[in-house]
Amino acid sequence: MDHYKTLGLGRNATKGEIKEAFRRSALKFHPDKHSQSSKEVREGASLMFKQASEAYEGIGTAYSVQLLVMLARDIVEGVARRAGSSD
Amino acid sequence: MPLWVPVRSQVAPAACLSPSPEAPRALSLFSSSSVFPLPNSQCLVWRTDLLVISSFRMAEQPYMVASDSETTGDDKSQSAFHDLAIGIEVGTSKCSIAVWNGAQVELLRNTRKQKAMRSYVMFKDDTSTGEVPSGGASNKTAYEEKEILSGSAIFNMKRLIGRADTDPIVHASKNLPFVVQTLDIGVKPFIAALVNNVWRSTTPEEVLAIFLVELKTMAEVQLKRPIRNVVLTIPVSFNRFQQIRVERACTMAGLHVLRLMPEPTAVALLYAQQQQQQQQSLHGSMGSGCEKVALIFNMGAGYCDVATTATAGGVSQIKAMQGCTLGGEDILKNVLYHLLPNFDSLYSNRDMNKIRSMGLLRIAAQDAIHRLSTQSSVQINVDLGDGTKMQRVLHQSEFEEVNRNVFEICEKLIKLCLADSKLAAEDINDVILVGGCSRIPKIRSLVLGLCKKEKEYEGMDALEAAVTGAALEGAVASGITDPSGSLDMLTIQATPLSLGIRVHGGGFVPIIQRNTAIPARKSMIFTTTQDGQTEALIVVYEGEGKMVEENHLMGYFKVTAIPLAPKGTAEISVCMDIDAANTLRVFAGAMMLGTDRANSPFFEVRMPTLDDAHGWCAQALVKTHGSALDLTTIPKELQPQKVQ
Repeated sequence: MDHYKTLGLGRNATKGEIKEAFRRSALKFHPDKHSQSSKEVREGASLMFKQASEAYEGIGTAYSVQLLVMLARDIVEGVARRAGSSD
Repeated sequence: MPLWVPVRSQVAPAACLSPSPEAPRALSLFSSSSVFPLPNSQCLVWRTDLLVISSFRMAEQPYMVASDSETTGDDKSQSAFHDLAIGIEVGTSKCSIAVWNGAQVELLRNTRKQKAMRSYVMFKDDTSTGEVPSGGASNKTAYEEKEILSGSAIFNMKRLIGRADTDPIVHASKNLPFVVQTLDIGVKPFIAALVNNVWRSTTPEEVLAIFLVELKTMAEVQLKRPIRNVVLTIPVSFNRFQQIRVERACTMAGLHVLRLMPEPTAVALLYAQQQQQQQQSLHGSMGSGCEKVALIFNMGAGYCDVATTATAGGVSQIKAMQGCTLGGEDILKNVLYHLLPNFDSLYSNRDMNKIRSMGLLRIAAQDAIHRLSTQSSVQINVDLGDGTKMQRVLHQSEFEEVNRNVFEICEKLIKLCLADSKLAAEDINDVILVGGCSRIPKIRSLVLGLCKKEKEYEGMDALEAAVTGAALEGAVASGITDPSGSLDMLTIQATPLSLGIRVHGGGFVPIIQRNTAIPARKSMIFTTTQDGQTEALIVVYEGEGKMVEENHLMGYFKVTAIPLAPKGTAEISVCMDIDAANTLRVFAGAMMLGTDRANSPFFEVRMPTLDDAHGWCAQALVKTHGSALDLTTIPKELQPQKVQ
């Protein structure tokens, strides 16, 4: 499966941008940042962290920063949806 | 078991009020109850008089909070400070506690004003008491160290915990004053302390629990609040069995482990904070700034760790870690055998006079090693009490020669860690040296030399960095924020060891590679090795060996309902997941032929399922099942590439 094709992303993100994107998603989704969140949000965020780190590590420097950004958006929406539905 | 009962509504299950009848010993710390006001206008009565710390099984809920509105109370976000986790570093030799005080990290002191307390538990008469509040002797007070070395105290718990009696480290511990007995069959070693002239048995786990109770009590008295959450530092090389034993000891002590943190990771977090603050003062903004790479070398009395971390914008990412059981204890042992080649004869028959001589020699050797950090030679004068007097000079060159093997291992670890993190010496911005042994001149020059640096990073106390980092993590993971931004940081931990399964022929296939960021989830597809194979054994191991027998067996279970198919065609998915609390779960099951759907419900197994690293279970499995239930890998290009 080609992530770029699937997500229609360019391949021109720099190494620095990719690292930066990963750090930003880590700050958003790492369990340490969700100790006061509800269980749903915490678990959703944790899953997102795993995906972001797998993407970061797996595709490494060739990986597009946009994918991480998109992933981050999905996560936020997903978490919000789940949190909303559980109330 | 400490028990929390609100004053207004005295609700608590009766079962929690009585100690387990099987519990052989109860330890009373406070005979009276203490009352603490709580922010949400409740009042808690603190009862530790029911504390039972011996041999009860790990309970799911080590403590209980009862309140008007909520019976569990756990998910309720109470005042953050009430639940603020403290940082504890239980070292092989010394131990310290630190806590975020609202503005910075503060190390607690015992009643003798010491921040670094000696890690040991004294067993005397019928009561066993760790001596944290009153003890924690420094090396200079030889009398107390002499007591610790009399056979009545257990120390070096960190080197013994979670190891089987076949472990070389357990064998090497036989020259300690207390009894370490091995039967070499892969079970828990027998350890015992001298009480009223009888060797009374205990376990490293129990000793650690007693010690932790003392620490907990000390912290509660000083902080005037109950303590339940802790961030505990551990060596990089701790396998899951060792981690679980440490967690159980905490549970026995009424503590909940919020995070287990490899020591260099804790140091990395402190480094991230310092870098963040520096950036802020330079640029006055929260910009992520440039990335800084640090190599952290940590060597204490029991363990040596090396890690590399990349830090920017307050986020520290561990790139690689290496560690092994190597420390001041090994250096001390080398020196002891150098001073007295027949040192073995001192402890073989456990004669009380010999134990005393051994203790005196240990103290003299330790003192000499410390002095050699600043002097080129030291005079040793010690009367061993049995007519033997040792008077000699020990030169630094001699010291370095007898410890050559130690330095070689340190060098190897650093090289491996750099290679793992794909870094060259030139890529490193800072070299951080922490732990007692980092004060040894040879070790400093060795680490700095390998990293091509003139000097080490300044601004960290070598003996306080790890516990300070643990307290920072305690604050961050407890959800505390700081208006000045001192807690706007994060450390992304990594798995120190690979996790995987056994395949046909006894090979080890890692599913989660070492140095993977935690939390992590990885999966792989395997296939059958027999025609029409309907069941497969999933045998989980942790380690770096290519063959399973070099690694630690975590547990096993059987995947069933594999669709009938020729060998090599059925697909079995094995997924491993490590959550924030470092719990490892393995999900496995067979897929419907030619689809990515499960053939029947998957199995979810929390690992380890074994109680100890029993290598012989693996032998028994092979003996009973041969290769009938074996799995094998499929080519990499057939592995699903999706991020799942």
